[in-house]
Amino acid sequence: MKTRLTLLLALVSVAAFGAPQPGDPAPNFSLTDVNGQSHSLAEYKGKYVVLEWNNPGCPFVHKHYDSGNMQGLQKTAEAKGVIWLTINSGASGRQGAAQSDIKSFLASEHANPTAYLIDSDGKVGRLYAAKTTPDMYIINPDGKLVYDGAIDNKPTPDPEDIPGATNYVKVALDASMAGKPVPVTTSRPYGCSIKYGGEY
Amino acid sequence: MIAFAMRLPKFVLGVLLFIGSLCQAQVYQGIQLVKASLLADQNGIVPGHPITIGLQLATAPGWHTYWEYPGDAGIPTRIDWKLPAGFTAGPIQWPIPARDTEPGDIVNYIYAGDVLLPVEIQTPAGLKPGQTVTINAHAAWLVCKDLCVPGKADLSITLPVVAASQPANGDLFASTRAELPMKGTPPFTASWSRQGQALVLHIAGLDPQAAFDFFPLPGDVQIGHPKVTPPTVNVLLIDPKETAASIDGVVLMTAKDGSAQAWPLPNGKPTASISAIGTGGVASSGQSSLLYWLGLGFVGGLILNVMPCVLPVIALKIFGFIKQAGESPRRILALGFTFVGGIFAWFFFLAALIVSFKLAGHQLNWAFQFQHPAFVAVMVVILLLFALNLLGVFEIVLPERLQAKVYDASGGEGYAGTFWHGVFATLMATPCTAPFLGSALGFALASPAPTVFAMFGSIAAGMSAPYAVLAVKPAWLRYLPKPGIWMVRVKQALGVLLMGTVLWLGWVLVEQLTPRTDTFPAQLASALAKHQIVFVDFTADWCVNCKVNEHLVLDSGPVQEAFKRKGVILVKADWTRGDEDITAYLRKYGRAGVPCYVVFSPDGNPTVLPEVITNDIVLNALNQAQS
Repeated sequence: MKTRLTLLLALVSVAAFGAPQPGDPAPNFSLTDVNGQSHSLAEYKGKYVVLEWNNPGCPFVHKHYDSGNMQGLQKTAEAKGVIWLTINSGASGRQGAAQSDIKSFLASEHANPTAYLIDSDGKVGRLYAAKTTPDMYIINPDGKLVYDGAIDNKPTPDPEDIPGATNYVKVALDASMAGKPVPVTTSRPYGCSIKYGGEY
Repeated sequence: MIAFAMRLPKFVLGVLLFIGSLCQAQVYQGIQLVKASLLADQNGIVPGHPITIGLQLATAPGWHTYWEYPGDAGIPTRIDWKLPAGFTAGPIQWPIPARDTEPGDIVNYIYAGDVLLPVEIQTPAGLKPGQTVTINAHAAWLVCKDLCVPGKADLSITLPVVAASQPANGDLFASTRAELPMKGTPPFTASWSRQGQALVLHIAGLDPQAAFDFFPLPGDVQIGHPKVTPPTVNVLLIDPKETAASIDGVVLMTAKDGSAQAWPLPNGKPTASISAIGTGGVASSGQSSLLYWLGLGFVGGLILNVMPCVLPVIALKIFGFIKQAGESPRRILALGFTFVGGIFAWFFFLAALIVSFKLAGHQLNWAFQFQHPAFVAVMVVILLLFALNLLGVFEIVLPERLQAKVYDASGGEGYAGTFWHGVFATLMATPCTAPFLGSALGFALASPAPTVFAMFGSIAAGMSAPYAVLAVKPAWLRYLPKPGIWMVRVKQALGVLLMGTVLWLGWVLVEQLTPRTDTFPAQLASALAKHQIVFVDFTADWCVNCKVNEHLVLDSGPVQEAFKRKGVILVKADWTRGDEDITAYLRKYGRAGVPCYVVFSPDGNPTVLPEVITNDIVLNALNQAQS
């Protein structure tokens, strides 16, 4: 019993250390999108990739979509050749994971990611230690993580806070694409918890 | 917003009180999730006295709101006060939250169900009884179950200004206060060390029987979930570039009997000069130094025996035992140890008295801390009186009649009688021992209960050592020194020693009361005195936005050049450790935290810049300050 507990603790701490940090290679994954098409991270090597964790029922997601903030960022990034992968790690049956909800969300918000990926067993979310919606990651053409964290520095659900906020994703993308050091490579993500399935 | 001199009849005021605390309900899909209202802990405002106003969030079953540090998801509840002139609001006093674990290694710190968040409001002295005051607040929170719904409300409470107030909502505030972190010196020492990518908190001096838990308050520092393995807590830092050497937090101790106390971690303020004080070190000593103090207590107890009113008693008592026992060594031994038991009983009684006094003090929020100048001042006066007593300036004597009565009442021979003689011999020695006990008492007040008992136990052991030894070997009585003038000399020598302690404590007091020149207010004052433009950068090591602003704007060429050209004096206010002086300035400029930038014109007029700055904003502000 005691050895089992120690082993469990060791595994937990490995998991905590194992999550990729800025500068680390972004672990590869392969997921099916909401239209049934398969995508892997490896196929986008050589391009900038943004990972955005999403839950169409979360008020923090709505803060950035109802205001047009997220779609605006998406549009400017994609115009520069950035691949935008929106990921939903909610377990089926939990809030915001139903395909119908996702499709009506994409339509009504006029969102236009490269793909909206379904991660209902939460494997990719756990691999990246994603905790909240939204939770943002940027991967550079070398396949290395250059940013992980919040979308901006105003952790509120209030869309009125967007104009005065510093958008970390925009700052990091601009800096990295201009060959400059990224000033903030990690920040604490804020939002709703990701509705993972399973035990813990 | 004060409705002046309304002079309403009392019953109208009563009605006003009820409608004063308007509450607002947050309804989502037909369910009332949260009912928010403001409650006061008194039925009126006494001019110049603080009043506590709490934001009550009555939350539907199964739903929760978040703590100051929400954990991996969620956001803390916020209150923005809109106060009448002269009123100021303190920070939210957060009760200890519950830990909530969700799938995906997500840990949150939450309040399940109802919560009251008290805030102390300072009121101006110039209010007149008969006025009424309306306090407004905008509250915003996030309430979650499986899904999350943000809520907000504009709340107000109207209170009359009165000459004397009565407590209100007593039970609610009392039960909330019981959940708040304690004030004062914690009964343990905590130290942080950096080990690679982790911060390790080491806690010393904890009751080994008690369980402990840690709730982090990392500010902007990103951390993994703290791993508690007594006596250490491991906190993994997420950002490889993170330079933090510590984080704040709350330590929750749960005693064996289930009673719990939460303590904020010592916030890194300079207390070194204080914890170095003579016996005062007991307050924060680890185990090894505790042994040292117990040793001193033993020696102190031993010295008590050579005090003029105690020494003659030793020989008398031992002769008494010999007589009673008819020279039977076993009975001498038994009587001797019964007498020793009486001595211990008396000292433990004193320790219990002090501990209960301390407990009462916690409830009344007395601060028995050497950080407090008032406490140090009282200690100086008490020790001075004791030193003068030892030096023979005055005597403390129990009335003779009382002495005789007490001795008679303590019964005659036998074990019971001997036990009570032990108790009362010590009591009667009190006039001589008072200076020592008094000093011990002062220091004991600043120590946790187990330390108090250990200290007094070791004094008792010291004092009873000669009796114990002589009960074993009555023949050694002949080695006992004869009473004489030398005892008075010993007493005087101890008086001189104590006088030294008084002088030293006095010096500590002066240190505490002298303003330090390296503090932020002092730096700002000397900068402003030069009548140039002053730029104040309120920043902190853990503040990511501050770093961004410094990197992209303040360190940029045009801004640096303008600083040089205009002879701007730069003052950095480092809020990394939450310095209270700096907090006061931030509040003065309407900010709850950093980043914050303030530009002073040469004649000292401040302009507060927005949190997100650009080169243009800074350059414009400098130009305006100059004109």
